[in-house]
Amino acid sequence: MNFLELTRISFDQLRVHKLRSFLTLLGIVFGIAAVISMLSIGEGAKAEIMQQIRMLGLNNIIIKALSLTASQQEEAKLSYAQGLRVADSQRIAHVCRLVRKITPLKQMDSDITFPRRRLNARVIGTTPEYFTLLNVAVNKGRQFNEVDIKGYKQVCVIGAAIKKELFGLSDSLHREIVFNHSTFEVVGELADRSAPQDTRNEKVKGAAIPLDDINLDIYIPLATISAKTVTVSDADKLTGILVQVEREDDVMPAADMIRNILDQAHRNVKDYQLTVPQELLRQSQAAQRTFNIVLGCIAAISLLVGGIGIMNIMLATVLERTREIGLRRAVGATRGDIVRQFLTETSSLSAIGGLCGIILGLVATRIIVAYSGWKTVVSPGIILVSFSVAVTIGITFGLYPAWKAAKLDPVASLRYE
Amino acid sequence: MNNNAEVIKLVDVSKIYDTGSVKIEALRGISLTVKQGEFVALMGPSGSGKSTCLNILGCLDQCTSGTYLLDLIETNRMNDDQLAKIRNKKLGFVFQMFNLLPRMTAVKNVELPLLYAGVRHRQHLSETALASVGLVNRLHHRPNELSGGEQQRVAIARAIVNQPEIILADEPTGNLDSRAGHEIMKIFEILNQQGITIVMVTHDQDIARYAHRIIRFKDGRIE
Repeated sequence: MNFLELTRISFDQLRVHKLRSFLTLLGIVFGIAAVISMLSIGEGAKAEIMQQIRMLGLNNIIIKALSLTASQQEEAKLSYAQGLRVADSQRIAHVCRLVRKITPLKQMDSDITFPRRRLNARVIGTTPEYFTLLNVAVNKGRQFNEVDIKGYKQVCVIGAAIKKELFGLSDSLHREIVFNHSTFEVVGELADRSAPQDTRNEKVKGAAIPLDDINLDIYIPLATISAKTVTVSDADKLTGILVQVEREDDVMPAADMIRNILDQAHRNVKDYQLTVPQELLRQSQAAQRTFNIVLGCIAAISLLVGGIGIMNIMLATVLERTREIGLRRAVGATRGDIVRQFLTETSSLSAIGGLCGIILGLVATRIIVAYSGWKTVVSPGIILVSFSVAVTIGITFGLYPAWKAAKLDPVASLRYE
Repeated sequence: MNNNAEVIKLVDVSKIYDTGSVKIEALRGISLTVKQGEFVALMGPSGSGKSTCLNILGCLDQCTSGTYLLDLIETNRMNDDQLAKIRNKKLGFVFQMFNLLPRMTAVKNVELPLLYAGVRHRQHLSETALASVGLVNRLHHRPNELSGGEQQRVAIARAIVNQPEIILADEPTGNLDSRAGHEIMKIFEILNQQGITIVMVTHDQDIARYAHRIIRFKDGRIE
């Protein structure tokens, strides 16, 4: 008896007991729906993180200065640690051969007072390498050049959102912006670089990586910002250093090296934080785990209940069809034929349940997206995995009833009323 | 196979049902031979062992002791799959309760043995078998749309569709009125004339008269 024939018999049987088959399926349907949502949300989160990481640069290492607690400050003072400084940046560039590009960052929050009031922006003093490092293009005008840096020129390059906010559609080049009690000339305008999602949306804050919105930044030469620092001893103090290495594989060894260099220079005072975008992926996956465990449990319980449901209904079916089994055996069905028939029936049942579950899961995923704003990815792989899970459940829980059917004594079953 | 071949040979066959506390001896050492082309009726009161004997002949059950040679082949040592194959190829069953599958049409019911035999073009063979029992215009009826006699004829078509050597019938007329019963017996006679060996269990003397030989059972023994 071939598979097609068996499938036909199975579907015939399911059609006869529509309601019963449907109720049997529910467990599988919900279980598979949970599996689909779980996997697609997981995949979505991973894709989002990957996108963010790509924006931060897979080859990049981010060093950020940490603000210290009072006791840590005492300790730092005792060990003459002075925080992240320009010298650190030079030291790393000098010692670590894996480094391709390095750029120091000095950041401050500032209120823009002209041409519009009360606009808070992040002002970052840096070097032209910054733009290549973050792979962001200057859309109009130019970056800072040697002349700007050497001459402590009051020039700035502005992010796309700032430009829009301050100048609307009119040209921004050579216009003036006032912040921090100084006037700066706009020499360049950055290309719009939106974060993976709408940046004003909350979820970016909740994302594993605190992604800075470049669109809202104003960049000025590092030399200029240093010169403006009130306290002389803080002039070469940095808020961060951005490092780029040659190859992806170099990121981890370079990070270790940089950690060594900084620990030595800072006399083991942890006044900096080193972020490797690659590492963030692992962290986000850890955060994802709780969610996966909850959904995984729901899926497992539903599938178990679904499986037991299938088993229950199949046992009833075997009893109901005792005479049929007897007759089939009398006309030449082997035990194997009977097992195959019942297994095909349960797997057809669970396959239908799997398909319904996949549809429900896709709908559920849509709903989750609509309400939470999470990103989800539904790949063919996920659908395939869920479907296989459903069919496997069907076969597993169908084994016992099928075996029972095959064990029936033909003589007794032919007489069964 | 020559005309006098012993298609069925039981030698000192016993069947004991062990229900745990009680042992029931259904057959107490019977021996019988059926030659090719014979039409034999098994008779006897209920519990005399005739049905048990038929089940053993049909390879639906195996004897506790003794030897059963089917076509000179010993069946005692065969496994389940081999027995299934014999039931499929060499034997055809006709039951008192017809045992048709209710949701299948006559053609589909008759196709069943072909299905397990792995035959491909089943419908044609099935229709031919149904035609030979006079059901040409009932091919696509379901059992509940057929009379008792017609249902039993579908069952006979199912029994002969795989061209078996032997037909085993367990009270084939037990659920039919006498007219339908005699019609069934006429079909049996025709099949027998075509060379099929028939072994039939019956209570009915009138029906038993169609057989060439009557074997009477009593208390698990042949009288």
